Order: sequence, then C-alpha cells, then structure tokens
Amino acid sequence: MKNLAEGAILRFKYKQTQFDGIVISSANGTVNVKLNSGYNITIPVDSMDDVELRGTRKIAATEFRQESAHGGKGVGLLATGGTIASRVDYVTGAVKPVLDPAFLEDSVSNIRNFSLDMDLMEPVLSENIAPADWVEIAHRVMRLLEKNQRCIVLHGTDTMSYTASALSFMFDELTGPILFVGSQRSSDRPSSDAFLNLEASLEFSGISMGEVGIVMHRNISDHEAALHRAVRSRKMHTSRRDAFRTLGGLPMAVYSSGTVSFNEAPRPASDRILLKDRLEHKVSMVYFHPSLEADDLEQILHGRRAAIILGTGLGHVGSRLYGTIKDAVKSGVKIIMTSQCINGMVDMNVYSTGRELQSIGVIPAGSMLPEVALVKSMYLLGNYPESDFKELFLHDMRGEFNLRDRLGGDPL
Amino acid sequence: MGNYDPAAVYEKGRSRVFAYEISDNSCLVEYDEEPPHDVNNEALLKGLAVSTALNCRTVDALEYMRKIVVDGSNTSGFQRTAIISFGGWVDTSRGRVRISTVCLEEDSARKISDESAEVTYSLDRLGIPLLEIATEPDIVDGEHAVEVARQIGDIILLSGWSRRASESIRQDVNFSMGHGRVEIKGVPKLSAIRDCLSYEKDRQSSLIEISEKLGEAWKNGIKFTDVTELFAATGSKVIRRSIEAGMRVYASLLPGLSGYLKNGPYRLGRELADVAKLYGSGGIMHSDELPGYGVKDELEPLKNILKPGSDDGFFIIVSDESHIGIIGREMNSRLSKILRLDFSETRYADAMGETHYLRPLPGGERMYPETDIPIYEITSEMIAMAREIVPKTREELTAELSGKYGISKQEAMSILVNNLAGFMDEMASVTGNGKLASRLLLQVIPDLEKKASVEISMEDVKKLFNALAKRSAVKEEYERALELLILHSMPVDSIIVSPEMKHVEVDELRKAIVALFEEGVSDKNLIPRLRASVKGIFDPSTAFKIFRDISGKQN
Repeated sequence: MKNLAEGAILRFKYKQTQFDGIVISSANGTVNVKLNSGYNITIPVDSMDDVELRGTRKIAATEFRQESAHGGKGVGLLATGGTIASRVDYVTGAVKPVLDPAFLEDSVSNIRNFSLDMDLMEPVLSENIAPADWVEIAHRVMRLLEKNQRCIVLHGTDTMSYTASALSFMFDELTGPILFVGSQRSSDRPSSDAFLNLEASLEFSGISMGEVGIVMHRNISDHEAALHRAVRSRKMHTSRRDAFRTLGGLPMAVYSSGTVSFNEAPRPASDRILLKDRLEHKVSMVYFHPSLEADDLEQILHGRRAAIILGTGLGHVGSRLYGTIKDAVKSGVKIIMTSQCINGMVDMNVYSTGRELQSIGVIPAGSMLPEVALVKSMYLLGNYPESDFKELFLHDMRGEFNLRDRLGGDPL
Repeated sequence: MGNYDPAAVYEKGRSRVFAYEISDNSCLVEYDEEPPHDVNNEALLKGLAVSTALNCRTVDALEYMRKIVVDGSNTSGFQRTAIISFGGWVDTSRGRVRISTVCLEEDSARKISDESAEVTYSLDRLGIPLLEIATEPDIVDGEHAVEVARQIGDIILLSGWSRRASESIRQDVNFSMGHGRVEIKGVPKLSAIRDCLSYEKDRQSSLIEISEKLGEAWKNGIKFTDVTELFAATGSKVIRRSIEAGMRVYASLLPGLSGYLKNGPYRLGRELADVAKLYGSGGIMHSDELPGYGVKDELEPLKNILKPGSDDGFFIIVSDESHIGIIGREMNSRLSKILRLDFSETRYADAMGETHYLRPLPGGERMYPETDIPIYEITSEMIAMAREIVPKTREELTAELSGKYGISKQEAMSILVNNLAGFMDEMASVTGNGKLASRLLLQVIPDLEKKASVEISMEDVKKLFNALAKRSAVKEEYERALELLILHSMPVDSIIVSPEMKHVEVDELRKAIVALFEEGVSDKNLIPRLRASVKGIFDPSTAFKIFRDISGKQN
C-alpha cells in the first residue's frame, strides 16, 4: 500500500512525469495532492508510480488567534455563523465557519476604533436556523446590549430577514441598535463584501436608535453600504452583494466612504430593554398556485394557529379554496393574506373576490412582507391574548407597514 | 498556509481604486456577482486538442484553483485556472523543449487606463477561455526563445481558435542568470522577446558588477527631505507643473552611489525611477544627470542641504505627501535586495523592449482550490473527441492549401502566416479561381496598399469581389477595380459603374493600337502605353493579337 496519508510529502510519477507535492486527502481510490507549483491535482491512486515518501508535514487547518480588538467604543459582536463568519481552509479549499478576529483587524479599516465584546455561538448556516434559535440569539444579544449598548450580529444571509424581524418584534424596547450583518462572499476572497459591511455596521452602531437593522452592500461597488429596517427588508437576489433591499422605499441610512447619511429618522432608543421571548411555532405559510387543491391546503392548515397566504396580485386565491379557508377561520385559524408580488400592498376591496375573502374572515396584511407577517403572527400569538390578534396585527408596531410606497431604489 | 503572498502585500500597500467598465459581452459572473458556471466544454476540448499537438498527457480530472491576482485585473481578485495536461514537448532546431503544463484559465480584464490612484479595466476580455502553456527551462537563448514561442504560437494561430486581436497571444518570459527568477509579463510581439531578454541580460550583468564594486557599502541610505521651496522658481517645466498640481519635491542622498546611477552600462537610477512611477510620482532626477532637465540653480543650495561626500550620489523626486513614506521604504528595500544579488521579481516589457519593475514575484501560496466548481472528470470520450480536432501543423496546412487551389507552397505559407486562410477560402469560392484569389491577396492588394500607404478594409474588398463575381469578371477587371478602390479610394458602388471598368470594344482597341504603332510602339511597351491611352478594360492577349496582326501586315 502506498503511503498516501494526509501531509505526506511525495515525489511520484504520474503518466511518466515526475511531480513533487504534499497529500491533502485521499478517498475513493483517488488522491488529492498540492503540487509545489501551488496547483492541486486529483489522481487515481493506481496511476501513481515510483512513489517516494520524502517527509511529512502536519496539515493543520489555518489557525486563528482568538483575542479581540481593543480600544475605543464597546460593541457587542455575536457570531451565529454564515458566510461572514466563514473562512476558506486554504489547504483543502473547504469553507469552514470560524471567526478570526485578527483577520478582521487586518481587513476592516475602522475596527481599531472599537472594542469588540465577542460572543461566538456554535456556528449555524442560516437555512438551519429555527425559531428556537431566534430566542437564543435574542437572549445573547440582550446580554451584549446590557454591557455595550449596541450589538452587531453576524448571520447568514439566507434567513437573515426572518431572524432580524423576529428580534425586531421580540424587543418591545431597546437601548441601542441591533445590527445584522452578513456577506455574500466569504472573507478569503479579495472581493469579499464582508469587510465593508462590517466597517459600515461599526459606524452605524454609533447611532442612537432603538430598532433592529440589516447592514449590507448598497450596490455592487465596494464603497457604499445600506442600513435597512429589518421588517421592511428582504433578500432579493441569490448572489449579488446588494441582494438586500428595503422594499417600497429607501434604506434608513447609507454609509458612503466614511460618512453616514439618513433617509429617515430611526426609532429612538429607550432607557430600558424589554424582551418578550415567547413565540408560537404553529404558524404556517402557503404559496398559492394554479394547481393548489383544497385537500392540500387543508393539510397545511391542520393544527395551525395562523397561516400566511402568498396570494396572487392584490391578494387573491382560487375560489375552489374558499370553503377550506372558511372552515379554518371558523375553527380559529388566523388566515392572513399577503402578495407573491412582494412589491406593493394587498388590497382586497378592488375585486369582489377580495371582498368575499374578507367576509370569510381573511385578514389583509396591507404592505407587510410575507415573512414579516409570519414572524409577527408568531410573536403576537406567543405574547398577547388571542382576542387582540387582529387589532395588533393591523397596528404598525415596528415600521413593518409601508404607508407611502415611494418610487425608491429599483426593486431587484 | 498562514504566509502572506509578497505580491499581495505589495498591492495592498498601493491601495488603489479599481474601476470596471461593463461590456456587452459581460454578465453577473464577470461582475463577481454570481458564482462561475460550468466548465466551457468547447474550450476544454480545444485545450485538450492543443495539448495533444504539444505531446502532453491529459489529467484524469480537472481541479480548478483560485490564483490570487491583486492588481485588479480580475473582479474577484483571483483567476480560475486548472491543469489540463502536462509532460509534453516541442522539437526545435536547438533540441527538444519540454512543456511542463497546459492550463485552461479565464483571461483577465483588459486595462484601459492606469492613473496612480485609480486603474480602469474593461470587462470585455474577462473570462474568455485562455490556455497557459508553460515550458521547462530548456530554452538556450533569446533567439531560441523566439523560435519556441513561434512554434507554440503557430499551433494556436493556425488552429483558427484564437481571437483576432493583437493581445490574444501573449508571452510571459522567465529569465535567470543564477540570481533569482525574473518573470517578464505580457511580451506582446515575438521580436520583443529577444529584445527584452537581451535588455534583461545587460541589466543584470551591470547590476552584478555594481554589487561587486560596492560590496557591503549600501546601507538603506534613502531619507527624504522636503525641498519644495528651493524649486519655487525652477526652470524645470515638469517640476513646476507637479508643484502646481499639489505635489512636493523631496531630496535624498544616495551614499556611495555616485557614478552608478547613469554612467555607461550602470543604470541604478532606473531601478529607483521604476519604484517612483508605481506610486504615482511625477518622476526622479539624480546626480549623474544633473544639471539637466531645466534644473541648475537649485543644485548648490540642494548640496548645501544634503552635503554629499565625493562618492555620494543624490536625487530629487516629485511625489504627493501621502506616498513619500512608502516610496522611501520600497526604494531602500529594493536597492538592498538588488545589491544582495536577489533579482527575483515580476517585470513588464515596454514597446521599446525595455523591462521595468512591476511587483514582487508571487509565491505558490497564492493558489487555493476553487470550491464553486466541482472536480470535473475528463473521460476517454472527450480525449477521443479532442484527438479528432488536433490542429494541423504548418506543413500539413500548407500542403492542403496548395493542393486545393493549385497554388505554390510558398503562396500557401504566406496565406497562413498572414492569417488569410479564411479569407482565401471565401475569395476563392467567390472568384471561382484559387490562383487568381491568391495573386490578388498576396501581391496585388499589398502592392497597391504600399503605393497608397493605406490599409484597406477587407470588408470593402469582399464587397467588391462579390460585385465583380456577379458579372463574371476577368483578372484585369479585378486588378483595375482594386486600383480604383485602393489608389483612388472610390466607393465600391461607383467602381462597378465607372467608365474605367467598361470593356473596350475590339474596334476601338484596334484603332488605339494602330495609332500607337504609328508612334513606333514595340511589343514590350504596348500594354502600358495602351493602358494610358484607352479608358476601360481590355484583354492583353487580344491586344497582342491585334498588334501582331498589324505589324505582320506592315512587314
């Protein structure tokens, strides 16, 4: 058996040509070698000849220092995982979730002006985050806020607006900003957006405000970041670094080459923190489509306390579903109508079908985004009497309603 | 692996802004706003075919790497590259030259402008499939380098797969005299390879001499003093303009370097100037060239400040305040590196074939796996397909062309090297006469172009030939029409209806020949005289027939 253990320094022949390199891994009859030229090459084990072991080296994943930056204003930094808290392992190429403060220090220009109070969670990819994690994140954020008056949360972008909206509702009162930051490119890449997004979030963290925001690139250039209100923002592109948008308006503030400018005054900070951390998990979401049948909908609604429907256009579903919806409402399920158009508001008075749905008891969510309606329902059902649901749901609690749809930035 | 790449650290120090111009052929992938798509199969097959022509062995699997490139020429900050084959060779007049690897890469963005603070690239070239063919150090000298580059370039050129753009085939030339590898990037022309190798050889030889003479004498002696005030009323336009633009003038001693800066073969001044240029400096002037460039009266007060000893040189540099610190550090470290006889670095060649410092040599640390592209197996079917399209050699193509059109091998070769093969096929089918097409392309058009000193658009020629083919034109018509097009810049539509393009009636021709005969014309100057006296096209053989007819009668 050839000695192809990880870290073996080899000289070998492959198709009669001599190579020198170090074994990165071997599996399924192939071996991956980093050649001295820097290239990796994957070779079937049995086509390697004249293998000569010339030494071994430990292949350690890149090691990271853990001490934090110090000096200046204190900022709580909670790392939950996601691309922004990931680095490539330069040896194997695997992207692993780690937070490397020293690397951030080298790459984020203003980081030395702050003293980071770091809390590292067991890293999770954001698609794996569930409501129970929102509660844990909220408690960790609260501890950091109590010490530092401001908190930055590193989070994967995929479900970032859900988590940020959840915290937005759960914190009835806040003494300072909670800013969610993510990145669309991992920080090993010279073109990563992580550094500017972090730099901007550090600057935004100085704002006295009592709400939850999302800080991401403003456009595809590398000098502007936007602060979005969590409950009005959404990831609108799979890969662009400016994927996050404030829908129906402008972002609250923009950071551009060192300066912050506001489009809108944020909600003022309170003198205390009030956290309501109970969430009703039995809330569902349904995307209406032309072949959605009543029995399908019935199953989804079964045992739920509320359901968000993404209807067509101004807020419609096929009339074949009216019976099912009526039964659900009668049995106490809150049925909320949002639109799959994402941009614009539902208006169920324009067509008679919309009026009919309303008479059945469907609650139109207005301009509220579907994901926000979901999170808000979970929060309301968890913390308030059921009888207050409709009134509170239609009440603008955190700026989740867009009362004036402006011709703002382009919806992506 | 925990190490910093010197080239990356260097670029970080320059902290420039990179701007990108979006082009019609670019998309989110080029903007680095979307992950890469699948490997381009056509490019891969052609790459494998070229590999076969270079006698290389194919890898079993493609494994894409990210090669960190920090000069802004890639929006992502890295270039995607994978080895597709290795272990090949080309046979040359000076022995076999081994090919180490052939890599299939993405081409970088094309630089449009380069200011000290901002570099602009166009995205029109970014991501176009590029083959990188690397040779082992088997090349003997500059002449041989040209031969090898031509031979490899031929395979690409004659395949017809390369873009028709001047920079589509580029050479990176590596050179070493035993004091570290110098990589000269992007040498555009074959002849420039020889020039820049010879330049580099002279440069390194002179540096070795300087280093031997100086020994350990150089001790990082560059320290700048702001001397802007001395130049308030300077006679140097360059300096005056720079000061007006907000720059400052700094001066420093160069202990022990007098006579090495620009003196016969010694050109240490250039090594400093190269650094200055990279940081946006307005330029340097040193003691071996002063007084000069309008600087004269400033020298005495300058010497009073610097107090140079008899061996000491000095120089002044124009720079903005923010860069002078790093310029000083870079100059000191570069001079000590050179004088320690470590010449390894990346350089570039200018149009004169002179080379200049560009950045430190990057290390193997700059490569890590591209995780967005899965490992891609190269199947035996793909290799078989590639073998079917292996580019033909020059000899094969020449024989093929000369057989097909009944032209000589020399003509066929000229068509190939002038990249006219495609045009030749088209023109031969339009005119229905390969020999004629070849003569027009290789002789008539170039001669007329030379006479008129213009370069004619091949599109116009094509249009003209198509129009002429419609009226089954003869050789003389093609020649006359090309004259009108090239010498008289007449539009194609007017040429076709021009009286000069009419066939001369036999009677008219006879009349003209009779007139000329009476003037004593001989059969040697009949045709040119006839051309001068009649407008229109005639067949010379008919003219001779008439001439013989008339002269026979007379005798």
